[in-house]
Amino acid sequence: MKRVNISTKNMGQFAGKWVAIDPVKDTIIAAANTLKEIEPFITRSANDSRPSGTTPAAFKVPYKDEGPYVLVFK
Amino acid sequence: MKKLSPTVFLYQKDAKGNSFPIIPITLELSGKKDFWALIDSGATVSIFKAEVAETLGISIENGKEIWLGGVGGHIKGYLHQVKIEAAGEKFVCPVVFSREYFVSFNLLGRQEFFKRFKIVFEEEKNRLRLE
Repeated sequence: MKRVNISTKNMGQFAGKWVAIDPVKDTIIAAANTLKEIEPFITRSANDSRPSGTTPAAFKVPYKDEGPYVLVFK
Repeated sequence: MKKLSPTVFLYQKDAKGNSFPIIPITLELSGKKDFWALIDSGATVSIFKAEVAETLGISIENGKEIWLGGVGGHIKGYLHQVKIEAAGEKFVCPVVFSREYFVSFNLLGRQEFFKRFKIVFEEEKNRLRLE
């Protein structure tokens, strides 16, 4: 796991990685090969009343050769 | 990823510059964990990656077995009821976790999630509104 401070405009350099994104600063704050490694950045207690979208959240950056998508499931 | 207001979200670009309607959500079990997920009207039900269930402490195979059909064939998953918070709304949503789902995006499908919001895709402005 690597702590970083990089704008989401540069998301491409993390293709295939799990990243934690601070939605307030619009920056990537951590990157790793697995979700488990960035879990501490996206975990809060049940009593934390901050709304979603105000705290860091996990995102799997698509691989460069992934897509275009037809994401239909029934 | 930048959020404009509690219910307006800018599309996110991937490594190739393609834009996607992705929003931040909170999933709650014993604690809260935050993820980004893509809003997908083509998905009947929400589908999340297996790693998400594991980090929430959910035993995937304890859910109801379900087969999902898509353009490329069928995948097996397990249906769970998960507490979700999105754009200020809290509700329980059916979510399928699958070890056979390899797309990078977690998907927010129509069941329950689409009943909670009026969803407006503003493609020209590259943004999404939840009302």
